Amino acid sequence: MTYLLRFFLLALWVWGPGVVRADDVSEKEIGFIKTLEGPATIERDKKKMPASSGQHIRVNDIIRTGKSATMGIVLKDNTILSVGPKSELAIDEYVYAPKDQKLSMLTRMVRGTLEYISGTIGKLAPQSTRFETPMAILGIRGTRFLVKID
Amino acid sequence: MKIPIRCFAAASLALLLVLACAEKQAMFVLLPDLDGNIGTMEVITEGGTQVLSGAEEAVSVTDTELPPTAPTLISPVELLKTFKAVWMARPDEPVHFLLYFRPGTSDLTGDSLGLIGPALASIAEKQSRNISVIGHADTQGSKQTNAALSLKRAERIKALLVDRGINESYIDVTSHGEEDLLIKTGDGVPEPLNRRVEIVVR
Repeated sequence: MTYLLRFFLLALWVWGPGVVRADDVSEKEIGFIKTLEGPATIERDKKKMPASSGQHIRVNDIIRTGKSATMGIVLKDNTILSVGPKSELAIDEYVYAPKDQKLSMLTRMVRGTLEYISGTIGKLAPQSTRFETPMAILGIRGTRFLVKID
Repeated sequence: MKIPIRCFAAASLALLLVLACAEKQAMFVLLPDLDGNIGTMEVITEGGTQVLSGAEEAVSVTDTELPPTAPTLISPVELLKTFKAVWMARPDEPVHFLLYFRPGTSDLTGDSLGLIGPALASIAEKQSRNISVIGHADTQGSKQTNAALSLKRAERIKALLVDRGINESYIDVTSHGEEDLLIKTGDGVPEPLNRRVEIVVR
């Protein structure tokens, strides 16, 4: 009897969290890959995986495109990021709760080329919309811009 | 001939130093948004700030101890050369549909029912797997009633799309009750334009 109980508790411990986590996942998703040409990777929790079209993006995902690869990302607030080859960036903060008036976003780009088209967060909360690169940071007032980092 | 370890080590170190000192450079260009409106942008280094306020204005940073270069206009030819791949990657803008409801209900107005077809066409054309349905209410009724009503409206639209063949997992439903008015009104004011669901097709 105790054997069965122990097994049951172990099974719950192993699989239980998976059941609870389902909602958690969709809340962590802040956007998705709409276009993708060529090889690219997403690094999440220190694990690298190949990127694929339609895949969802999460806060802190490190997005890297290969030598001839390009990627288009659409975020929940309709910010559009168009990423060129040999690029690396991450969205390190993303809060989109317009109902609670909580809007903020931080993009960190390490290298490559990018077009950034502001969505609702950039338009309604420009003071909370930040973009950082190794050499400069940007203050954006809800608009469109290009970045090239060598 | 064997290369002594210390020669190899010295050469490696020299190479590392050269790479570390290689010129890093960044360029930032301001563009009008797709509606033609232009905003502003500040580029801030340790050395100072430059403000961009005109279309195709560009600044460069090569030394973080200095401010960015003064804004200059970048030619379309140079822009295309540098950013062509980026522009080819740009996804189409999301498409929005607004559908309206009879007061206090999740029944669509006649005109709005006719928008389901175009929404489906947009989903097909974009091969969209990412659709948001956002429900709203006007300020007539309590906040709680409107929270439930706006959700019911959004769920109704989702059901209509799923009935017409859209994969349920492509659709995310949110509702904002009376907290996100299209037309700002006082409390308790019936306003047809606030009784709405927005479909966003990405």
